[in-house]
Amino acid sequence: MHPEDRLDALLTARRRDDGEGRRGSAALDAAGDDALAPLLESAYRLEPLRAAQPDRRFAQALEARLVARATERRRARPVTVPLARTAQRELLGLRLRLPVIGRSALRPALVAAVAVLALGLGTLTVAAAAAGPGSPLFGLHRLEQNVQVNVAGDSAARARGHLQLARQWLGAVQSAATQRLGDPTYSDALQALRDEAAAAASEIAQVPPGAARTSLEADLAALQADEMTTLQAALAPIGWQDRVATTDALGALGAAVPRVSGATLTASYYHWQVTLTGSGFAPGAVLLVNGRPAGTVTATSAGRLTAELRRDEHEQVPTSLGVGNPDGTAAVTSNIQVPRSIRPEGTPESCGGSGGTATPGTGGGTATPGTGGGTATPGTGGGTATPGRCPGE
Amino acid sequence: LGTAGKGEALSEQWPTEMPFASVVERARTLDHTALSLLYRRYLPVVYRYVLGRIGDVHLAEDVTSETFIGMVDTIERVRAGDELGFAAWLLGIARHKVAEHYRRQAARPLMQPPGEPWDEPLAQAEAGDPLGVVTARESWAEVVAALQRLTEEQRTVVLYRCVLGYGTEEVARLLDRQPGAIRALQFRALTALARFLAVGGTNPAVAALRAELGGPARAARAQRNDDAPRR
Repeated sequence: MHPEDRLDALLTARRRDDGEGRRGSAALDAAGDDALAPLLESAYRLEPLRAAQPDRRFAQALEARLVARATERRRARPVTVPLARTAQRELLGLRLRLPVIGRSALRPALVAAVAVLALGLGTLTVAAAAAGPGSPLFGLHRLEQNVQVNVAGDSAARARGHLQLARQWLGAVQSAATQRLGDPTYSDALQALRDEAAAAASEIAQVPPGAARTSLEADLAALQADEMTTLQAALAPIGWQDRVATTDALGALGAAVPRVSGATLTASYYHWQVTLTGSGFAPGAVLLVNGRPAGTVTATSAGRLTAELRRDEHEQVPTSLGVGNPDGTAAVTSNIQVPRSIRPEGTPESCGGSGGTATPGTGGGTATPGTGGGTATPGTGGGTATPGRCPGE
Repeated sequence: LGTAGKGEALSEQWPTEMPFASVVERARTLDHTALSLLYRRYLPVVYRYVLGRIGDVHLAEDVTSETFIGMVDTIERVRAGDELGFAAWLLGIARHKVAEHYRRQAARPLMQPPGEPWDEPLAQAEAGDPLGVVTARESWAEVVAALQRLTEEQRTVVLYRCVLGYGTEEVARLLDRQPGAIRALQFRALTALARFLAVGGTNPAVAALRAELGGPARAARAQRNDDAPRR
């Protein structure tokens, strides 16, 4: 056997020994081989590297940076809709025919522009029809679905349409959870499910009492029962952010879920003392800091959870605090009370809601106090929003 | 600390119900969950490779960060359909970032203050034994210095094979070479490494610390080491 092959075999044997928890057999094999022993020894001196682990805090911080980078890139990415093959053929045909159609230099350009616009809109509509949750065109797809349902003649027909769509999105939620496809695939499907179920309930309320309404109410109740089962099963495989949204949906369905009404942070030399108030906290619950489990829970009752957070691991005041129950349900709040003594100058006493202001536009905007300050959804008339700031932002 | 072969090198077991190709496909759309799965799977692999190339924990963290940021920035273009293909692509980014690091370092004066002990990954393991820490640092510094003296190809093969735990056939696929060529490179690399380690010098700062902790006899030995000619 060539020395290269023997060395390779000995290294492979060593690796196998390590894998099987045995030690030394490869070294013994090489013991009689003076030429290869120094080579094996130099390979063994690299072994500390094989067990090197990155620092946990570094790993967590880098993962957060990557997620933020991905979000940034996704926002910056232009929505490009590839032209359907048929559209490409038509466009090609148009370009070939242009010299025949046009008498002036301007006319072909005008015809081409109109044709490209029509093709573009058509292609966009076709692409949107196939867009699933998580796709950039999902909003357009939902708009198209709503238009289709709302052209139906009466409330009963519209309710049936919404129930049918809700069933479709319930399946999408289940599929996204099974495949562990988190935000935005899971969250898009969940939001669509909730919207369609709410729209169905609203339309059913407009249906006159009678057999049709009774039947629709039974369908809605069956949908809600399936929704409850599916969402409870979905809690385990999804991430904490999606669990919060799922818990909110379960709460709306009447399930017993945790709710957090407020949080207080006080500082000692080494720790933040965290106190959460609310309801539905279960024994074994964990503290969620900025959407991730962290800290050490020191006491839990149904309406109060206290925990400690190391200040060297959390130098900034968190933007959100919450609770994660052992059954997978979770709730968070950004309404964090920070005592004056540890607030940087100019920081509001409460980081939630009160830190921001929102002026809805005349078209009807809504303002929702949210994470670390106010968020605003301006109406069509145009609104302005001034989000508040927390020390952790 | 434990040993780690290729499978053990991964901090998280890959969920068997998730086909790798579909996760990469999701990651190409910048899906957070898919990106996190890939990150957690390959963080130790990239980190160990970079640490082996650079030798300093803090600098290795910086270059590891640059590698994964590079992954997110270019993942839309990745064509890998399996784990080894993805590893080849990602380690290619890491190699590029390490080369960039050395180019940057060459362009500015040496920043390592004299007398500062080198960072190495062993200090934590032996933190209770100051002399053990010194010995480990010395040994580690020698290994990193010896690795630096190998050719790029030799170094890559040794790190992939002996640190990341890939088999010869896998290294051949990762580097797009024949297995026979990998075995030959590995033989030459370890021969050179053995030679460099046998004649390698001692970091002066470590020798001084060792002398301080070990008393006159050790100090004399450290001095002899320092006086020894170096190649």
